[in-house]
Amino acid sequence: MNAFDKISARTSSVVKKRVSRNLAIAERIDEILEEQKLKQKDLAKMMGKQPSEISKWLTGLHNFELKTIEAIETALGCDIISITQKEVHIVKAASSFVLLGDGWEKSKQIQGSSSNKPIPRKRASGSHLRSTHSWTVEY
Amino acid sequence: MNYFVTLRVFKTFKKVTYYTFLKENDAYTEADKFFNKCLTNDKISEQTDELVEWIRLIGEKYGAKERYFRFENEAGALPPKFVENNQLRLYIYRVNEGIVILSNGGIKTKQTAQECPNVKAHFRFADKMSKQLNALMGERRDKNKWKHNHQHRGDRINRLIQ
Repeated sequence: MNAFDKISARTSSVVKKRVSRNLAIAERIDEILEEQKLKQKDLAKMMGKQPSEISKWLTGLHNFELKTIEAIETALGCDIISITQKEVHIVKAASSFVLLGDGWEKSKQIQGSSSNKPIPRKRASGSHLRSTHSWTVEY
Repeated sequence: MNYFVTLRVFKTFKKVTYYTFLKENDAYTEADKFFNKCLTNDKISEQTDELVEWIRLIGEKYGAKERYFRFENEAGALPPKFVENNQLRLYIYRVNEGIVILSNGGIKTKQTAQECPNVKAHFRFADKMSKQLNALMGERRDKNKWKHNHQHRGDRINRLIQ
C-alpha cells in the first residue's frame, strides 16, 4: 500500500461524502449548461456574478451553500439536486395487514379486519410509523 | 544536472490512468514523494484527504476534464484554480481526459511558485518535463489553446511509455 492508498484509507466518510457531493453538483451544473447551450460566462451574467465564481463552482472542490444552489437552480430554471423521499413499503398479508413506513416494520393488524372483508378506510398516522410520508391504503 | 526520467503507472481507474515520473537512481516516484510528505503532515491532513478523494473520484467517475486543473506555464497543478484556503500544490501534466502525469509538489508559501522555496524545484521540474513531453509529441502548446487532438496526444504518450 503506497501513501496515496494510505491517505485514501484514512479519509473519513464525511470528507468522502463532501467531495463526492460537490463533484456531483459541479458535474450537474456543467451538464445543464451544455443542455441549454450556455457558457459559464452566460451563467455568470444571468446571476450577476464574476465568471471566476462560476469556474470555482465547477472545480468540484467548492463547498456549496444551499442558498447558492437555490440561486443557480432559479437562474437555470431546473433542479440541480433532488430530495429522494423515503421508500414506502406497502404489504398486504393474508389477514389484511397494512404496513406503512420506510422499512419492513413489524406489522400492525387493523382491528376488525379479516381476510375476506374489505378494510375500512383508515388514516395511518400512528406513532409506530417512522416515515414522514403516509397515506391510506384500502383493500 | 542531467538524469534520465522514466514514466511509471501510478494509479489506474476506470476513466483516468495516472502516471508519474521516476528519476534515475531514485527509490520513489515523484508522486510517491509528494504523497509521502502529505501523509505525515498533520497540518494539511484535511486538504490532503480531500485532494486524494477528488483525484480518485475524477479517475473513477468523471475523467480529467480541463476545468479540474490549473495551468501554470507548460505544466498544470492541483487543486484547481479558485479553490480557497488551499496552498497545497501538486504539479501535473494533463495529456487528455484519460491520462494525467502526476509530479511532485508541496505547500506553496509565496505568491508565485518560482518564489516559493517549498515548491520552486518541483514546479521547475514539472515545467521542464511538460516542455520535453510536448517536444517529444511534436507540438508546442499554447497555454491558452488547449484544444488539441487529445486522443492523438494520448496515443503518443502511450507509445512513449511502452
